Amino acid sequence: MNKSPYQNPPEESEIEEMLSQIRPLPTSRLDNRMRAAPWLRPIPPKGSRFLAYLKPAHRLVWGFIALILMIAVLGTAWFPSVRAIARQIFYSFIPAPSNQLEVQVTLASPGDLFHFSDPANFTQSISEVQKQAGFGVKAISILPEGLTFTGSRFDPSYNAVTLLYQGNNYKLFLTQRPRGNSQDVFSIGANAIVKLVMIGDIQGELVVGGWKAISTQPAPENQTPASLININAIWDNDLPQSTLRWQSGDIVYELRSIGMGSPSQSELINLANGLK
Amino acid sequence: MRASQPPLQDPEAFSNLYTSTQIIIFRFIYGMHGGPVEEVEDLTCDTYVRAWKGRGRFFGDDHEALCWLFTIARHLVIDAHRRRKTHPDNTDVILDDTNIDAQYISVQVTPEEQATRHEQFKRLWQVLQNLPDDKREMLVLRYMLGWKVKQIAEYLQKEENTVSVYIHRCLEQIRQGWSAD
Repeated sequence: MNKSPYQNPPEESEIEEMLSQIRPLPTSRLDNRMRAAPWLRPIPPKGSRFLAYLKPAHRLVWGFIALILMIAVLGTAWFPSVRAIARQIFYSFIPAPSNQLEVQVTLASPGDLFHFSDPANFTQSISEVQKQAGFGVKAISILPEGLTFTGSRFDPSYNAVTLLYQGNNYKLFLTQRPRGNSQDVFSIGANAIVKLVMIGDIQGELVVGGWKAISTQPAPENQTPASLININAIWDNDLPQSTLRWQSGDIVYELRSIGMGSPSQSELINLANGLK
Repeated sequence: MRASQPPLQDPEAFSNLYTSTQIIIFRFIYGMHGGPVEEVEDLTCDTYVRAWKGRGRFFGDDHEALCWLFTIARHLVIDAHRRRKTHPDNTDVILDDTNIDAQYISVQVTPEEQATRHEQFKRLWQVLQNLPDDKREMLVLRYMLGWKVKQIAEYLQKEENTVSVYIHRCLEQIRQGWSAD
């Protein structure tokens, strides 16, 4: 009769022998599982490893962001209208599609192109326009020899303040307005050259030249001060006009000199630096 | 001095490690865990997957890699035992018949003798699984993996004599636990 396995324990040597005989082997199931082991998967190229570690949902988000960026870049590169919007965000000047422009102005509005530079429209003091504008108006602190302050005007349409200075054979317009209206951008000819300059530690843009009227539509017979006329203008890089634009805080500044005796670029920048 | 790149970083190197150690790790886990074989295979897989994930932190030679795998496997077995305690239905330890049969396939014994020895192995397995983890590990290394006492002493960082005495006590504990319920 055989011994019960639970009685009469085997000798130590028998236990050793039995333990030594236990040599379990894995089934084919282990091999099947290990066929999908991570070290057997092809390693993606270094550049795409980032994507490989992303969850599918995250990949979708990153893909969407990449698509938007791509559309933005391509749109900026290929479509002038998108490029114009981009420039409007980052720059002060927008190049027009050509060097020719047709603009519509009123006959007697003090704000139009013809009448804007008339000293008769700059009758207010700086403190007066400052009250109207509601922001601190800066002026040229040290006037160079020959340059005098004429007066100020406030344009409620754009909440803009313009100070007029007159020098020897030139006029200087200093315009200040809060950022965020259509006047933030100034249209320039397609061939205009925009120079990036530093005004202190602020980057500004300088354009030499301006729009020159080449034909004016005759005024209507029954003209009133509000009558509109069309002017054809051409951009002229040799026009004695320089425009310097920059932004400080929420205020957009524009310093424009017009006239044969206009200050040089460096003098214009120095004047901009000296605003207080 | 450490190599600049972890030795198992390369998939081919890791694949070679798997090929050369998978049976050892499987048996180690089997001895420590007690079966069934499906769970042991799952734990073997998990051991290598965990090692693969942590390969960047491993610096060492082949023997150290094996010891590193043992450490990972031991932790996984402890976790599995904890889970088993929370699921009392799984408390039976099973030495698969397929493995027992494989041991005696070449041994000429009668069916009666074979049945008796089968029962003895089942009992041995039950008593072995009731030993504390450290004692069971020592017996697994010594007998199921065939390590010499010196190797075990180096692995456990103990004196050879200490290991010998310890193994002897473990065997005695098995004998004492043989007839117990």
